[in-house]
Amino acid sequence: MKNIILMIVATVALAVGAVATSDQISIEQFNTALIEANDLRKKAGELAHEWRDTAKLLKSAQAAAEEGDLEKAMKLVAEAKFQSEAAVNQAEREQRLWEGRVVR
Amino acid sequence: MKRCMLSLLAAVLMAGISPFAPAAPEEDRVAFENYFLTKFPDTPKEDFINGIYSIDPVARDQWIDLEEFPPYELALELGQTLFETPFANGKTYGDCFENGGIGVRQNYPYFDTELGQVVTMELAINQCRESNGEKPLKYKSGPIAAISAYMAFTSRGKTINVVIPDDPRAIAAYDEGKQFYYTKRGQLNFSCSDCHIGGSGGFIRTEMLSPSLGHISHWPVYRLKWGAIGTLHRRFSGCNQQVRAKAFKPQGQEYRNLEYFLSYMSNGLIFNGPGVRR
Repeated sequence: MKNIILMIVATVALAVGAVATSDQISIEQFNTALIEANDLRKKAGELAHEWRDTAKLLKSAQAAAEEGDLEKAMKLVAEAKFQSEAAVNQAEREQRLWEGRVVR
Repeated sequence: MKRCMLSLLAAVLMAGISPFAPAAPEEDRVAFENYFLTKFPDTPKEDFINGIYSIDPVARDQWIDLEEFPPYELALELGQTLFETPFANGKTYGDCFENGGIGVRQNYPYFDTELGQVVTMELAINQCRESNGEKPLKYKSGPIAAISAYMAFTSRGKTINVVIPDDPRAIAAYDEGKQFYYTKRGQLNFSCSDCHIGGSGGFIRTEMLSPSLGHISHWPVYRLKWGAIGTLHRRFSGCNQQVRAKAFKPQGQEYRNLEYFLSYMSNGLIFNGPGVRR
């Protein structure tokens, strides 16, 4: 999975670089954000709490970046990151709270 | 006194001890059953196997009409044909199961102490195929749902009697299923219990939410929404996706343990599958 992400990052960097060579920082920001958001998504998955649409958001972000729309790509990555953080928090919270719902 | 109680609770939490002592499965089951019997006093206990139709008289009338020519009949015929068709090695499904596979639905799910895991009806069907050199079937719908429906049909009237052996792995499987059932998931932050305990009898849009007691008795189910017969784990998957959680694999450990817990909660009721639902 890590290799796939690295390949996607490289592809996106090349594609975006072709249209926006003067905007390297934004591309790096996107790549960093993409990896960070994907790692968080995986963490939520390991906790059995990944949300339904997070992976789709990341795929859409990659597609937007490949088309050179980094602004849209960054928004999508941010949404995916928010979802993953919320999912991880949900997992941690539920470890404490689920037993309180058991019918007694 | 209140301050004293709060201090005690804080101390317990700081010590990492859950303030809720784990209940024994039978204690859970009795409380679970009583909840629904109290919430729906007009529904006889034995009628909870009919799911939503046990508490919604309008839907029940429609269902009774549907059952005159049940839409799962074709699947039953297919299931019987598949069940009786020999594998390439000449053996059949009947060779894998007690009593030739007829009337054995009540033996599932069970905890296999050799494998150290919960075995469901559909898992056993695929175990049978693989032990006879056949490829496993996909778990959500199609042939496996038809075979399972036929086997359920031959078991109508048998009593649900899930036994949890005195094996810490079996208790753990039950507890994991229980935790799954009561844990909120997904973007909508819903647990199974939110809809099917607290929410049972209420509505989500136009659909009344069914009670969990008896939930597993009538599977596989022909759903009008699917236009086909499908398995219990397909429904679990759909529920998880409806609350915008990533679904788990059908017949993965999570859903098998959930089925184990839910089946135990319905002990004493009878199997009446396959069913038909909207």
